[in-house]
Amino acid sequence: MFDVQAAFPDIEPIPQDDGPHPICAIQYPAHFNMVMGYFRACLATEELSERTLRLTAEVIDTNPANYTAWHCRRKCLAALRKGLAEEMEFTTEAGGDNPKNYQIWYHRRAILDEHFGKKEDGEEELLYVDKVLEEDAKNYHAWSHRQYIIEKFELWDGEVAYVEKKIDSDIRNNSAWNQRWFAVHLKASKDGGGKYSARGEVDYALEIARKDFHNESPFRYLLGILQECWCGESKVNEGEEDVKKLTGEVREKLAEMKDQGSSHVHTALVDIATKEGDKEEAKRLCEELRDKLDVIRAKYWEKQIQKMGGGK
Amino acid sequence: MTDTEEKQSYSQKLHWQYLHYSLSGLPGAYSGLDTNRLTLVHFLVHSLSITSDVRLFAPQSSEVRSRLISWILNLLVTSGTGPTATAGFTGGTSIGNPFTPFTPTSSSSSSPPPPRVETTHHIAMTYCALLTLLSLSYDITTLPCHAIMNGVKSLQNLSPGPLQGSFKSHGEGSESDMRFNYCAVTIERVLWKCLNPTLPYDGKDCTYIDKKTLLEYCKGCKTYDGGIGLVPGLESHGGSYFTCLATLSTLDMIGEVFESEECLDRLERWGVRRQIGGMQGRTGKAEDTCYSYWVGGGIRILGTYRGGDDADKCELPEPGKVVEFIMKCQHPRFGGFGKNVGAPPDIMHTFYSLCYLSMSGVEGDKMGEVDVVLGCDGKVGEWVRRDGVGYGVCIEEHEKRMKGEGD
Repeated sequence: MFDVQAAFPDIEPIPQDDGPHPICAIQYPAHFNMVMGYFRACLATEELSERTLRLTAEVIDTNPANYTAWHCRRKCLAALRKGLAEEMEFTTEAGGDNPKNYQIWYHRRAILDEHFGKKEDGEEELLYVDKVLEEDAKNYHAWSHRQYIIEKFELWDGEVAYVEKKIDSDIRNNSAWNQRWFAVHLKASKDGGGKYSARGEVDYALEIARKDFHNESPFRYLLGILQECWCGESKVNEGEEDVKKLTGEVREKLAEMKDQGSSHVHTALVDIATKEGDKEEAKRLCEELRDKLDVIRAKYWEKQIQKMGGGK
Repeated sequence: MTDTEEKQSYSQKLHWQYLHYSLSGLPGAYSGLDTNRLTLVHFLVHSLSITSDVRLFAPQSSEVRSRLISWILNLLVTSGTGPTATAGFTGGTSIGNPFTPFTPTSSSSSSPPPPRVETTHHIAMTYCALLTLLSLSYDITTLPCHAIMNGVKSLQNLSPGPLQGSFKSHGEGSESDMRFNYCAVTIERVLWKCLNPTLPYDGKDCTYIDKKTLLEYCKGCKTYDGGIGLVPGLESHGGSYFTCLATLSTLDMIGEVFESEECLDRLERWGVRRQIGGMQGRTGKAEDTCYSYWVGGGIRILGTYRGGDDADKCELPEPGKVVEFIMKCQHPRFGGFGKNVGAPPDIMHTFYSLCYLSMSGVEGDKMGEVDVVLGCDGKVGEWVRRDGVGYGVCIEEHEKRMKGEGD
């Protein structure tokens, strides 16, 4: 435990000056006030020292969102030429209770950018991200950091396999589906489609879709892949696939799931029928969505029917 | 079953109590927001305006108002002088500088004492400061507007890479994402008439913000499911859905990012799909009151853009169900709203819940208007959009009207 007062016998803490009529005055805990008093004094003297570095840890412990403390910490680290492996450990610890704190994630990135460039560094960082995602598989910050690491350290090779495991453990985890899109497309843009093809992705999505017809994610993924093909902008379909044929096959497979009472199956079929110019079928599907399968969006479906020319 | 789950009606007085109480002081649990206190002030002042609490805004309450104004003006930080000076607001007083509120004349007659600590401005705080000052009828034309825009400019990422075009939040090492693009563009919109008193607003202007790379960034955030992520490559999210659409709406450039009808249809579909009773922020996540505004507001913006008569307007499919969910999150004794049923009320969720209630029109005259795009009270939104008429005039007219009504 770092004794702040004992470490700064020569420093007079600076109190906060909130003016004569503070607004939204926070009832800071006494420890918070004490630590901040010394921190204000260090900022005023611009002392970049070992003890300031330790003080920033205390400030961060009381308020991890204090970005000035993180900034001051980086300045101390640079001035003291500190070992950075240790700093990543500190950040990991600070991240423990605050997995959704922007400053902590930024700090990791800043330290990595500044001091770590080897592939192994990136791999090690991915292990950290894995741990956070084990706690909360939908942590937006963690996925963002993961994408950044994968691109920076060129670690896309194992990513699809990783994501597959994530999807297996929770097929409703939409963040993992998004990561699959990211990984497959990145791999394709870096070293060609390779084993990833539009057909492969479609088959994968259909396979998972069959496990739970009420899971929106695979249906959105499936449609995303098809739409990319329809626009001729597919990154994972290098032209050899007959888009029309593929669309027709997907439509057939979805049609087999029609009696499952899933709004997602119907919604996907609306898009495909519309694409294929089958207005009557699209309208019929919208009516079923409106009346039975997706009643909460009845007004939305009614509007779609109107657009197709005709309603109730 | 807790008492919050019982069916409740909207309780204006209870909210006033909660909001005023919070303005005067906050429990230690808010310590984690110490550097962002200004956002809390913004949420509270605008919540009071949306709940039609005229007391704070009436001429008679000028003393309370001037205290608020002076507290906010103390948070203005400037750096350098002349045409390259930068300025902006910081979020609180924790840095340790003496209390010295900005005054319009201070730069010419006697310079204020130099700050003890050089500190960075924060783009979200600048956004909050400008809108809150306007809401309190302070003429922001007197602020160093050019320097503030220089401050905004200094935060845009211009070097090539995935973040090109986007904004950081501050200069001490910050993440960049769609939220700060929204702040940057809104600040530019709000300060436009201060810098260009006679010119109508032009979103294409690139004096301070590089619009070309900003648009490219927005395009990069489009996702395969029709939504918008916070950063290119990331999952679609309600927060980025709103901030992207509001940014583009202000610039009048929605069509430049969402080029086809099909693209707009998918964007609408993504938003509409987020209703599961109340609104969720991402596919498969739980409902949360703040997304009522983020997603509901995004859809409203889209509807306005696509035009057409009311029937054609994109709206949430079941606004009544969203209201129902929000009302379940109202705290029956303290007032305010929590993020979900049973959660304690907090200032942020209170503000966004109120915004949605105002948008939905359910409480009629009991609620003031909200400017959905700018995220502030309707009166301020109107002033911002009155090209060629300075804030001084807008405020004067408004005060006259208020006095007239008070008589």
